[in-house]
Amino acid sequence: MDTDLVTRAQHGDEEAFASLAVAVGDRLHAVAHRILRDVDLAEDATQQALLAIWRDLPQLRDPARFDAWSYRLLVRACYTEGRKTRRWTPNMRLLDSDREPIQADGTSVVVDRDQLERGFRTLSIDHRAVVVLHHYLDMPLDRVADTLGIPAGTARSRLHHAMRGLRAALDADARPPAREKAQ
Amino acid sequence: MSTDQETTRIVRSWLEDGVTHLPEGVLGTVLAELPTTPQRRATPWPARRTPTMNKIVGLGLAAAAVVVAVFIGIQLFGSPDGVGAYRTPTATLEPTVAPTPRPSPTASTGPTASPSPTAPPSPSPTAGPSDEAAALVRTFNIGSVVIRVTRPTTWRVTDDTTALGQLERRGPEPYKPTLFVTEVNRLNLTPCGSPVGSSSIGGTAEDLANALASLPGLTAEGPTELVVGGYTAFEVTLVSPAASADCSRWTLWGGENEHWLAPNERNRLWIVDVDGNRVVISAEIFADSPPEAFAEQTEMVESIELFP
Repeated sequence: MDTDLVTRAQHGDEEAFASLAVAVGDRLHAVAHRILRDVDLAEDATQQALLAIWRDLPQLRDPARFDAWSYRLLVRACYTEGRKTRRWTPNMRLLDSDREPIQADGTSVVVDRDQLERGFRTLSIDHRAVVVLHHYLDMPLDRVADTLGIPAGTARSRLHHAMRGLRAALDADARPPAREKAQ
Repeated sequence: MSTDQETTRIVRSWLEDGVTHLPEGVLGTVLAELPTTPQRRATPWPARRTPTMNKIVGLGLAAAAVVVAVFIGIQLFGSPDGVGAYRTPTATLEPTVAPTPRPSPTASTGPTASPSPTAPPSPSPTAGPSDEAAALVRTFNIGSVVIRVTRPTTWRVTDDTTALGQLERRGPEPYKPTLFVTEVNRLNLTPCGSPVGSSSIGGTAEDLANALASLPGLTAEGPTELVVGGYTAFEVTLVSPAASADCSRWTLWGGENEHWLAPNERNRLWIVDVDGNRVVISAEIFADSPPEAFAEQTEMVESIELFP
């Protein structure tokens, strides 16, 4: 990230901030979408995060840490949006008829994805954020911890529990077809 | 069953799908709001004092804390005639590696084994050299209650989403046997899936044990009354079924210390009444866990010392 741009934006330069927002907007939005699993909510979260970045930018002490700091604000915005979704989307479920048939080798990418979607939605935003930062952005766990402002052990533990949950979701899908095959 | 690598691969691939471009309208809205969104100027003093505290001041405070701790220790334990020698753990105890000569716990006898009644809480084990393998003590604090657990070397201390920490058996991911201590005041009365609401439960250990044993979708054994660390307790064992399309996890309670069962998990819970304080000890074991893990968990529960 161009630290000069960050510094200028810190001092109220709107044009510099516009350049900054263009540079990071796509990335923030992509992360928000993967955490929230909803395009509209992700747009709202990104918008909130960008405004929070503008508002709080003067308080960022080290412009070189802009990336990590902006992700932290984004995750906070995702918490806010995530709370909204709980109120009106209790539990999204895909109907069986929506799934593609299991292939002969017992695998189905589509079904895996449906199961992951379902499993992922059962995770808290805390857990989702760790999964997305680590597995989507390829952040090492110590950087994930630093970004989220949590101890490294907590980040490790959240990832462990989240992956355990996702694995359980995948396993849940794997069982019924196996039984059908045996019959 | 998926392997860890396979799960990681599928998750990573799945995360690649999705939007990658922020709609221009969003950016436009943000930029249009800038003139009416004032920036918060940094304050001249640091938001948090601790990280920028003068090192000399920090060292001075640390030295003062040590002096105070030593003084308190002498007051509590230093009485030459033994009066007042009953050791009360302080709330600042941290996980420690203590070469403590502890009596070896009774071996477990099988899946129905429960911690046997033990004597009332005795004074803390005297620290000192031991010619036995070093025993490792983990301390948990639940409210005012201090819980000390001695773990075998096959177990380690981990951080966990339960901010209280937990013990975990060393071994392959992801289903590691665990043991942790927590407090529970609300239960998710429909545990299948993610928490959709919880209900508070009565205040006694027996209330919680009965509520746990009544949770739908799980096979329950107990509650059985017994003694843990010298205090009355109720043991409940919950066993989750295999995963199905309807359910692949069973959340017992949510919140910061959220706890859920994976498919085919066996979760033993001991709800202990420590002078009116309800403490929950949880031991999780999975279908593919090594058989000795169960006995080790039992031994750890038998090793528990409770200090209200």
